[in-house]
Amino acid sequence: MTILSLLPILIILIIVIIAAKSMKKTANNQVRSMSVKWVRRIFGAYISLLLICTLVVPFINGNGWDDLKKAPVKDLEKEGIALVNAAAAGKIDSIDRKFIEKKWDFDFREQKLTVGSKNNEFISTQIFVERKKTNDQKIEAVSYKTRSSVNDLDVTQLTNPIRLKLAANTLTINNPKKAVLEFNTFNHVFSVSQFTGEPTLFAHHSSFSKGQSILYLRIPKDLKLINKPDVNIQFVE
Amino acid sequence: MMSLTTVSLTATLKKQYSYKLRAYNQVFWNLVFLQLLAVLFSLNGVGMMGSSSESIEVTIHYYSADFVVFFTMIWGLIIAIIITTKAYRNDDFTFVTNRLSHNLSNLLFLLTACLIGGLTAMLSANVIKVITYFFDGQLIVDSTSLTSALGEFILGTFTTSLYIFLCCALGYIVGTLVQIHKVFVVLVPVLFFGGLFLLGVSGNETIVTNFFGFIFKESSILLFMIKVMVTSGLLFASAFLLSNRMEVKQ
Repeated sequence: MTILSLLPILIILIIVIIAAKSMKKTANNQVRSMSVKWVRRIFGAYISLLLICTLVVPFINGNGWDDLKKAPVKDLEKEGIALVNAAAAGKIDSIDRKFIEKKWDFDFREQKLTVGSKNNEFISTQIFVERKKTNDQKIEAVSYKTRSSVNDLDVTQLTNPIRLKLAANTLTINNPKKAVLEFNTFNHVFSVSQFTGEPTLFAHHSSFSKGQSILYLRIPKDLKLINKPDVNIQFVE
Repeated sequence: MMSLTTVSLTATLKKQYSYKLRAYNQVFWNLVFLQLLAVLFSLNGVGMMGSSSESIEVTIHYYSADFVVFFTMIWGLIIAIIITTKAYRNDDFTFVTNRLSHNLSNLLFLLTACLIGGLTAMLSANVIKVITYFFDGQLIVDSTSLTSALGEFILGTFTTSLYIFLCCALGYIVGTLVQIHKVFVVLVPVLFFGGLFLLGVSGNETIVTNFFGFIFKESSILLFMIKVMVTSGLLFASAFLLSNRMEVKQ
């Protein structure tokens, strides 16, 4: 047990002693005790503050987060699995278009294409490659992403898509620009959460799901694809 | 000199209760002080969670009125101890009184104080919400519908008042013991904290967990109510019995 861990107990003890001392003064009816008038004024002002804040709260409740819809984590897991299965089976067109994050069309006349990331950065996006039936000298890239959620709230619109750059005969994939999200959440007091099944007494529970993202590439029939070790490519049969 | 007037217990109780509400108003100033202090502590948040991946970094700050309720419980404990002290007890001798009316009026005063404490503790959550919103600009509240918020407010006020009442009962018996003999000033904290420490080091943490879990982990509102009422009732009854053994004006 460190000294710091004793600090809260020490603070509480000091508060208890101060509070007890100040109340005891009244018992002895000493001059230092606050007059009835002043106690009433302070208590009245405090009650007024409490009531004003109570009236204000309905107007600020969830303000700024009205655009965020509900997105339960278990629904997101199903969406992610469905997306990967559809891509692996070459049935990506069956996936809802709302999951399309961004599209790219590149004209490409070379015979070989190298796929890698900038500075060998790990790419969490799964890459699926489908060979077209013709050599149309075009590469189509579509980024799909299922919903991301924080505490069952859909935060997909606050995230960024992956970045692609085709230079010479190299397709460079970069992770999305990191979205930094900060939330303030107000939990029920423990004397309520105790009966509502929520975590109680300074305990908290949060859920975070970043969603499933994939990059689906359609490349010309005979294009030779070389992938660097930092990217994992899966060919669609 | 003999008085031929018979004063009923109810009339004495009424007088003593209304006197105590006016005379002990200092305790409400202390309530304001402690709750505002707890609000101040709560503004720093009661917890934080962070998670990060290649594309997203999430930080969640948790706010709640747990500190306020906790501090109000401490306040309940203190006022119950304080009103058993000699200075407060002697106030009752300005009335025609006996131990029963003295204890019952104290009980009524503590009940009123608990309700006020529970109500203000629950309302103070709104102060934290408003300050957090105006300083940080964002706030997600668990309960967004007005009806569920009202239900939770009523539930919270009721259960918080019960928690405070339990602390009052604990404070009242401790205060009464101390009035019987000063050795309890040392003995009670030593037994309580020493007991917790000894049980902890001897590997019997489950006893400690069950001791607190008996009330704090009860998820049924009805059982919680019964447990608090019975425990508080036993504590108050013991205090009443012990105070009956004291000499007048002891």
